[in-house]
Amino acid sequence: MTSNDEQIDLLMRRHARSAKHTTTTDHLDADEMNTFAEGALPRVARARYVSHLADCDQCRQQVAQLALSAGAVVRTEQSVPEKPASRSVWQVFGGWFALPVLRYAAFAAVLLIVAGVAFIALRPRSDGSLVTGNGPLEQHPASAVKSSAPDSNATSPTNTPPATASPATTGAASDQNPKRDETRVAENISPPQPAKEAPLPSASTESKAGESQAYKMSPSYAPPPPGESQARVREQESVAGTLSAQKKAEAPDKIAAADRERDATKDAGRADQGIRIATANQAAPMQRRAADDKQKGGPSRNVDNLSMNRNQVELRSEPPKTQTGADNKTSTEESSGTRSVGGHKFRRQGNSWVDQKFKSSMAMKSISRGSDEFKALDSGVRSIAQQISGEVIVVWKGKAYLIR
Amino acid sequence: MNLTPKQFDELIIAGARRLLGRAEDARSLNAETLTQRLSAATEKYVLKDDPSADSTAIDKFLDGLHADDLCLVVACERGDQTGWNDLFERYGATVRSAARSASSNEAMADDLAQSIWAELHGLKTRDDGLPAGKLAYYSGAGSLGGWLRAVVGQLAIDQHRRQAKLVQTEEDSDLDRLAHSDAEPDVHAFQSAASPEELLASDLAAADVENALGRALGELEDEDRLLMKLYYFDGLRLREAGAVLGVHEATASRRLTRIHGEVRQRVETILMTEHGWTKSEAANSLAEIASQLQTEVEPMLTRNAESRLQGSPAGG
Repeated sequence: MTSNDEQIDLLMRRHARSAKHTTTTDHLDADEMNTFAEGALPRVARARYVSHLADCDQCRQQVAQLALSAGAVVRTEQSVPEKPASRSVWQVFGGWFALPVLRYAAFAAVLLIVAGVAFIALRPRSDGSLVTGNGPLEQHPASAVKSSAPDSNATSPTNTPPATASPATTGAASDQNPKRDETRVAENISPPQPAKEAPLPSASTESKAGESQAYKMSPSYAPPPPGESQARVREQESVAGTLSAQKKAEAPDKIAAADRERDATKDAGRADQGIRIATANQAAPMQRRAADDKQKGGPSRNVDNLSMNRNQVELRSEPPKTQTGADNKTSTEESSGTRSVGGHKFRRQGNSWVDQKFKSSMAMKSISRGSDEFKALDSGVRSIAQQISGEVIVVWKGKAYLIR
Repeated sequence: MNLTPKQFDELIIAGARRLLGRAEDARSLNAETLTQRLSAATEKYVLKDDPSADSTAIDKFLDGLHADDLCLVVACERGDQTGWNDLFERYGATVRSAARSASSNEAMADDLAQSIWAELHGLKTRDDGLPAGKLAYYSGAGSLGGWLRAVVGQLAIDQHRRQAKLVQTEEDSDLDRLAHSDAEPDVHAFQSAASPEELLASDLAAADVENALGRALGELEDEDRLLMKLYYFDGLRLREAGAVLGVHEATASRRLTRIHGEVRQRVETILMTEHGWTKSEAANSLAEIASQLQTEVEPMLTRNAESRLQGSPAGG
């Protein structure tokens, strides 16, 4: 009995002592009393007698005596106790939040919270786990290719596929040795070697993935400082010229090129989300690291770009993977390349460089270099256009510009 | 669907035949001799509360009657001497036992038992020539032994009333007055020494709670109110109160707990709506009065226990 019950119990006992005894003028006869006491009344009649007995002390006392002497206690002891009356949904729901239940629930909640905090606090932290959380991007074979990319760039900066791509060299890719990076930069600047470009069109399909990754590893550049910009432009123009020469040598089919453009656009759209997520995780730390290095007079701009680009390439989605047709895959990988300029990533499509942010649904504005419109563009767009020769589609502040 | 009189009569006749068929000793009765009694019992226990009762309900009631007891009573009423002998033989002990329970001494119990048989047989004669005894009121719905105990109990009360009307001494009147004064709400019983203002406020609060408690009790369902009356007013144990209601002690206990909650809620509602109390004031007042009652009751229980110990052989 709860304390509340005890209070009412005491009050009722006092009330029973002090209350006037009630009785009615009409009393039950002996037959009715006996029938009630023996529980032999029909159900419909019982309510009337219960009502009378609740108000008539004399009849109630007689019926009680009759029932007890008739062995009612024995009868009811042998009977099965009723189940608790069915409660409403709200009563059941309220029962879940009753204090006796809540005290256990509160204890369980505290235990859970403590266990959760302990788990979070004691869990071993590693950056690797965070990188691993980024999922399939890092699991792509690109990680195996990236280490060999600089070497391949040394011999063929113009989309020359690597001879081999062994996982054993993966560790070298993450090597931050400035000397090696500088060497790579020097190699990147070295003039193209047409002799090694010749086998490109006839490259076997077995090395398609490797080729694609090698193209991705081709160096890209941030906006150059004033002293270097012209040389950089010339260099890139030479690279572009090499590419166009290569394309001419390949004699590409126009229809196939159009198909490749469509496929590449779709792939870029699909990869866009993955790139954004990966960039959010990786780009900021890399930029911070680059800024710190610059302040310290550390690695050069090219080294920064290389390391950043390498990471960006790592994070990039796998467009060739999403292409289904073997022919399409082959032709696209052979002809397309990627580069990063001014924080934008561009994919080679046909004779144009297309910003990966570009979507076919975007309205595109065509602008010629040197025109007034071109001069009116933001400096960032102009910087990109200066670094990339030929046709380039740049997405700038949500708008697409085709710069010729 | 209401039955036509003809249908009702047919049901009664059929029921009487089944009843005679069930009886071990039909005492040479036929169905027609039982129809009037069966009709009266059906009207009383079925049709009065459910005038549209169908034949199934009526048949169920008729088939639940105590066939042998009813045949014995009807036979006695019709002057069957064998029936009377059987009645004395079977139920003489029951009547004596009931008379002893209802009487304060053995002589009064014997007088009561003798008068019972006279009442059963009837000293007057009805219009149909049969004696106007109490046997005519037995319906057969309950057992004959239980009915005889009830008759003895009622007769004892009637005799007590008659005697009380004739002789009421001055001492009895004084006792009644004393009892009445004890029964008055004793609002001072649980009050300790306090200032007159506090006493007055406490008096008023206790009176409000007392009135609210009475009203809350009166607003309960009949079944719940009966349980409360049996338990608190008649002093029955919970097992006995449950037995009167035909339920197990555990069921009665659960009901009582639920009723406590209802009473508390009703009392608080009355105090809040009609006396302007806040919920906390009502709860605090109930708790305070209960605690004061507790302190009042505990010494009484202790005194009672001590007196029992002193009065018992072991204790004395």
